[in-house]
Amino acid sequence: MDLATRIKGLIKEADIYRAQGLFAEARDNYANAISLIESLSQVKNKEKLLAGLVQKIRGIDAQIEKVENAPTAPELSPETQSLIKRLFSFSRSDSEDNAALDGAIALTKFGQYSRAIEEFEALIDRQDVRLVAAKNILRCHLAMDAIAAATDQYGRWRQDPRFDDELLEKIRSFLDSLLKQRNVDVQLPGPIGEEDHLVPVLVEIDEPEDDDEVLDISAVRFTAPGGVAEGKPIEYEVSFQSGNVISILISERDKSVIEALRIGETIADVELTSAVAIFNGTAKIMAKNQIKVGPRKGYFSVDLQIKNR
Amino acid sequence: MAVFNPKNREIECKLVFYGPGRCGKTTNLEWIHRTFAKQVTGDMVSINTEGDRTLFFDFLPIGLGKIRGCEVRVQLYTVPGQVKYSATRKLVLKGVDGLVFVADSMTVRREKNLLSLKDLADNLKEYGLNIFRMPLVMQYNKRDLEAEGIPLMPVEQMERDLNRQLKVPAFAASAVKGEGVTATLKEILRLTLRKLQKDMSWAQ
Repeated sequence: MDLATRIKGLIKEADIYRAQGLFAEARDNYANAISLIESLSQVKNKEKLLAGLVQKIRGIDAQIEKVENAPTAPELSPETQSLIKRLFSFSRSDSEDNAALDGAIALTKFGQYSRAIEEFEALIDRQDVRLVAAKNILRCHLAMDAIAAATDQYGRWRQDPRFDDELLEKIRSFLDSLLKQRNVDVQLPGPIGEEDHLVPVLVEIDEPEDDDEVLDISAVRFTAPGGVAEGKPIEYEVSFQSGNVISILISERDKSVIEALRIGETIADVELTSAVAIFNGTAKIMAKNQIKVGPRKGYFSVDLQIKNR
Repeated sequence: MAVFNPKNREIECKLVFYGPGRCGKTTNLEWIHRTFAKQVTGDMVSINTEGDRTLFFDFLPIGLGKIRGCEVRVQLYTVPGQVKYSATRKLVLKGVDGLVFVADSMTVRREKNLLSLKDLADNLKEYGLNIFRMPLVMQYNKRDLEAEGIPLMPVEQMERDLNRQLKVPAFAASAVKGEGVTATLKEILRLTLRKLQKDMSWAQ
């Protein structure tokens, strides 16, 4: 094949790859065509041809940038949000509240936090799911980086008769741990009576140490620190992530593992799976709570603060 | 997970079109949507991002009518192919009953096919499912591009790459022209309903 035919072939292929949305492949072909043209001494309209190809590469680079910077969780229409709720609620529970809770959780998984908050707020009226709904509302606020909204919400619940002292203390402790995990030092007052008013004071907000810390983690694997599986690798799916804190769900059948995970201790060698890579790190055990209601009733939710090594 | 209502004699199952980015999963569903208008029971929903890429999923509900005394409804989904949407892919896969793996026939996409198939096997494993035991059909898409002079892998090579161990039914296809789409769909429906019959005894 002569060079002219080869160059034409490369450009034609590149045009088709581009039309197919395969930008990297198209870019490679245009770049190869440029190299070939540059290596030839006698090409008619050489400069014009090269300029045209450079222009095409610029266009592709702009398209790649658009794709890479496109929002990963745009606000969807109410109809689509309702469809997500319907399609991704896997609860077979007969309880209306649990089904509604599952639907709201489905919305959070697709990044529809504002609508999810509305759905969770409606569930605050239901005593059975009030705590779970409240925690999820706070998680949604933090997922949107709205720390003040989370603390304000807690403040409103302090004045709300639906929240008794025991419930408020659980929520306060939960929010406190979430904020600490984000290196946000906020003084959250306890139930009314212990203090008369809520003045969340933002004492210090540290910058995250490393961008890597906020990678989306899908699974975590580590050597069981104790129990019947001691010394063996165990792996859990991440059920929720807020910044560098991930939550894993452990069945109560693995009680020996749950007992071996002690709050405050750090697991020294953890394999973290993200969409782009598997990497090693450490995981500090921040919280450990048994789920009382919902489709995962009985499971333990364990919060781990992860750190990339 | 399929839902069978023995009282009303209704079964609903979930099929997922999986594969690397830009391999033609959405095009398959669009063609089914256009061609089987009578069977389509609701709108096709596509949640896209920049450049018409699937962001979350495509969804198309179809009804097959009564089969052996049971009303059969099928939900067709696609997953987002882009590597970065791993978590969403896994979420869409939850409860899957049957799978179509859409592979891109273009030589330049060989590695992406392999990675995507591995990703599928890994994600299934996380749900306790074994790819070898799932109803699965391979589709070698974009065969029409050969006429445009684009280097394509021979079907035999794709079989070796992707189907050597799985040994599942495979179809050459051009989703953009509708070639091979119906055959793929019919086969995955046949395999899935047969598996569900074993698991749930839905048919009379």
